Amino acid sequence: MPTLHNIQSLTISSTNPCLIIYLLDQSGSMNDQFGNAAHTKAVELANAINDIIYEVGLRCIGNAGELKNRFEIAIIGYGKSENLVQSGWEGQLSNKWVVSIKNIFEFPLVQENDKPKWIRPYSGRDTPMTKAFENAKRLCNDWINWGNHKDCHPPIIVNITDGEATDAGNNYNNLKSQVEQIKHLGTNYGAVNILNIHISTRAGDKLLFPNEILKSNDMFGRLLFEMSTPLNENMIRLAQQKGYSIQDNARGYVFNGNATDLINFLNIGTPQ
Amino acid sequence: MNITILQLHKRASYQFKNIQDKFAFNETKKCFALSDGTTQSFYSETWAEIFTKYFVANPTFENQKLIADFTSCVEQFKNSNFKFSTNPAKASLEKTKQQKGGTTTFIGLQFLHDSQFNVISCGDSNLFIISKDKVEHFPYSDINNLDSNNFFINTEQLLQNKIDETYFKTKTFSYQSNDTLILATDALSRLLLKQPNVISELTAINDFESLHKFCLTYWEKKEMEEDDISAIIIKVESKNKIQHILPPKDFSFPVEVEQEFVPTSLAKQTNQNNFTDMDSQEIKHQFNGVANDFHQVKKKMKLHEMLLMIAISIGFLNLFCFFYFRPNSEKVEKENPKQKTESTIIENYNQGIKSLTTKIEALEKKVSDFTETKKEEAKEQLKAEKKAQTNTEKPNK
Repeated sequence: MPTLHNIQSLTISSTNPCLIIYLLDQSGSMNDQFGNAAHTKAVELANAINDIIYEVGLRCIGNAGELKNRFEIAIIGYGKSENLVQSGWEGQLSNKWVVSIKNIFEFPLVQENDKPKWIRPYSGRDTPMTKAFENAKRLCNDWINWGNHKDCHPPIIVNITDGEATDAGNNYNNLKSQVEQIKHLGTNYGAVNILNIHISTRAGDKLLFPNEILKSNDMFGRLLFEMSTPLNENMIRLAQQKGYSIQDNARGYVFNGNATDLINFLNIGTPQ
Repeated sequence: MNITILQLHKRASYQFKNIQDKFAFNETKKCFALSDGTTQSFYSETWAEIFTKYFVANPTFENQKLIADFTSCVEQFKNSNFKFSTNPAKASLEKTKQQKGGTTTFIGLQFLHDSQFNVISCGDSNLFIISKDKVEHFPYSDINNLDSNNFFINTEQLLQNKIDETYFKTKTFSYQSNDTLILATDALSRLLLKQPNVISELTAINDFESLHKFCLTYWEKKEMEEDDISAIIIKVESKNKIQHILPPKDFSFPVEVEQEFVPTSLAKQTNQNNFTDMDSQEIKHQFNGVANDFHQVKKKMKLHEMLLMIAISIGFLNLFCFFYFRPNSEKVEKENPKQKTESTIIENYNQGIKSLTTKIEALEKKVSDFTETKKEEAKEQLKAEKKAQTNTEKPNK
């Protein structure tokens, strides 16, 4: 195994961009209400992704409207139709898997309340999460081996789901196998990061990057926690500097929250 | 006092005009200021420039006074001529950034009488005091402390009175005649804290080529972050000299060629499944149409099959009827005696004709034979006459 570079010395930039892959659960159960909110989980998810993309844009815009390609973003939707895994980009970006932040802001779907939107809510059929992770694995592998990406921040996979995979196999073995294969991929700055955001119909119990999870938690919640990689030391350092209460062995698992905070854990230029 | 100002922008900024570090100094007041505008905030370089200039013109090391001075500078910042993007999505980002304001770090220094100087700092820029036998640092003496800094001067926070005395660190130092002072922004400060031996390398830089080489070396070795690099180096007791080591006007870092990453393993899948919802609907409609047509054809074929069966049945029935009801000759004869008599007569006539024909033929043969015999006899007689004539003529010779 080659010696890893110190990730603290790495700044995410247009010459050393970072890939973020969002896996979006678009299964039928996403049509249920989100906690005490008036909207569905699918709407919550779409809002969260649109907010995250906007937040990433804020970290990349320079003066005179110049967007630096510091991030490349993939949206992979799963469950919109039976056993279907596909790119989640729509409109001018449809059929693209990875889009640079610069192009993302060139082609939003709509502009609502002076804010651009790219993702619409969907709630379709089953939950082919294993297949989605398999696509993410292939995408990560291709990205890492392209250009100078071995000298970039390792890709970050953020899976947002409300429930059990329907293609996980016996004892979730197929799903676990795909996740393990992803964990073996990495750049010179470390292994791929896997984060899971578990959204639920239950309300009021937000949990952000815990270092352990109650045994009483449901079986799939535990699986998502175990599938999540620990936050790397640089993320923890930056998070702690910014006042987040995060322990050293915190994992990339969020319950009933969103991943907007994650952007604060990345070293993007000089911090705000 | 020998003052050297070193600046090089990060490669991602391409040109020196985009550098977000700003410096200012006032020779009369022996005052220096260095500020690092944060990359992601709104026109941070404009904000940094405004208050570094203000500070060297009106230096103060009283925290409250400094906060009041900086707050008064915010109005000037807000009145600057900002340009927004014509792209609505990007303009939205810029407006959101504007609401969050401009953010910078700050370190200011002023020489006093009696070999002393004051320093005030907010943020992760750092001061290095290099004496013969030691190096002192302010406010951070190690990287962890520098990185854990969370204090920046933000325009909106100033207006909301959220910036208080705790943001600033001040100290008065004494210096020796041969001391060298370095004010540096964060990336360079980290390198100098990590590798103190680099200080001599830095202070030896006397032209842009050396600075360029220095930065590239440590960037490539990944020992220094890819950030704007700025330092003010002050050699206290040296001859008065001010040197700016900055990129020449025509200098720029190459713009990287933007290549779109296309995942090859998923692109194949896309090509196989590159139907939009509308396409899928269209295909579904067409398939349903074909299925309906096929159903109609099947119905018609069943009808044809039935008709064919009926036709075949009728054919068989006809055949059966033909054999069953065919006319019987004996029966016909019994039923029609007149017709029988006519037939018999015709038959008798036919037989008569046949008999006559045979007789005629026999007679013709006889006539023929008789004629032949007569001809033979005439020939024989002629031959005999000729022979007799011949015999008579011979003895006369």
